[in-house]
Amino acid sequence: MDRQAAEDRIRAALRRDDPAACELLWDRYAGDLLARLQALLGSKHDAEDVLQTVFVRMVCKRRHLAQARCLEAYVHQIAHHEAVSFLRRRRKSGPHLGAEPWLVPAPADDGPRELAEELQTVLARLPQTQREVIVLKVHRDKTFREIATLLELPLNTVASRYRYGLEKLRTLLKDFTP
Amino acid sequence: MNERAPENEAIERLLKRARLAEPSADLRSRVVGAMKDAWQEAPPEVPWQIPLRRLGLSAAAAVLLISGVNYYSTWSVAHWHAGPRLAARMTAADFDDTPEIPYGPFVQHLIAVRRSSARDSALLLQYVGRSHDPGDGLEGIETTDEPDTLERRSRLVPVGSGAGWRA
Repeated sequence: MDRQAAEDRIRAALRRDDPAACELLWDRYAGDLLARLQALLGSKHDAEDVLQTVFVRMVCKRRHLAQARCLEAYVHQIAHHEAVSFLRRRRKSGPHLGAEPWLVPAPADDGPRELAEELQTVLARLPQTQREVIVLKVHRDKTFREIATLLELPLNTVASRYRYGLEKLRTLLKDFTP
Repeated sequence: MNERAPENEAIERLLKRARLAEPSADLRSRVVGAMKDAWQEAPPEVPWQIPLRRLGLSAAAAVLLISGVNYYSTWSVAHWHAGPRLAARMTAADFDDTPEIPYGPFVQHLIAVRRSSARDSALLLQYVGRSHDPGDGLEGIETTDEPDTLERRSRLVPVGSGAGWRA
């Protein structure tokens, strides 16, 4: 319900052409978008750069944003397009070597840093489509239905991507003992 | 849809021992600042302009496409136009030594047709010349428009005058 109320406030600000919508958009979507971009790009630094481009693009498309049927799906679509074009540019410019950590040990766990690094390595070996579903489900606590809505995919596709991704992770982490 | 499968719990627990880096306050101020700058600079897109822009782009693309196709078709049939001129300059004998010319038999056929038509026109000219020629039994016919004067008539031997007998 809070989510819906937040979206209504954003829409109202966009319709008034009020710059206060910038903060509202950031507070509502920055966390989810950064998580998805980190999963797609495998780099915190690149994800932050693309995140800035995504939010600026939202401002340029603010009229469309105000009229979008599903605001969250529209925002994620912009992020996906920006990530894909960023990856295309990066592929042209050569191999990506800067892999600063985008997964950190959970505060409650306070476990070794190696675990986070190992998880990041095995997640990087998954297909992009499976990786983003796992990250949104496990780290952003989204339900399959929410993920299906914001990725504009059928529910069964999301569930099967998650299942296949976890199976692959289980195989990759078979010999790993934290 | 089953969100919690027991066989996945262990791996999910393991994954949850790491977390994603959250967006920092510094990043927030940087991005929100960039957004506000863009808000001031970029006017909002007016919805009715979008289909108009698309229409303009489509028209430009269509013009380019049609020009390209026209240019290509002109270029691709250019050697067909050059064929008869080549045949006009050359004779059939020229082609006997050049078997590598593409469509050789066809060009030779064109020359043959042209020569036969040339022969026909020569015959026509000959026929016209003959019909205007004042010989062959037509020598006595006057073709001038001068008036038939008495002086001119007096040069002729009168029929039955007996002059022929004297000569």
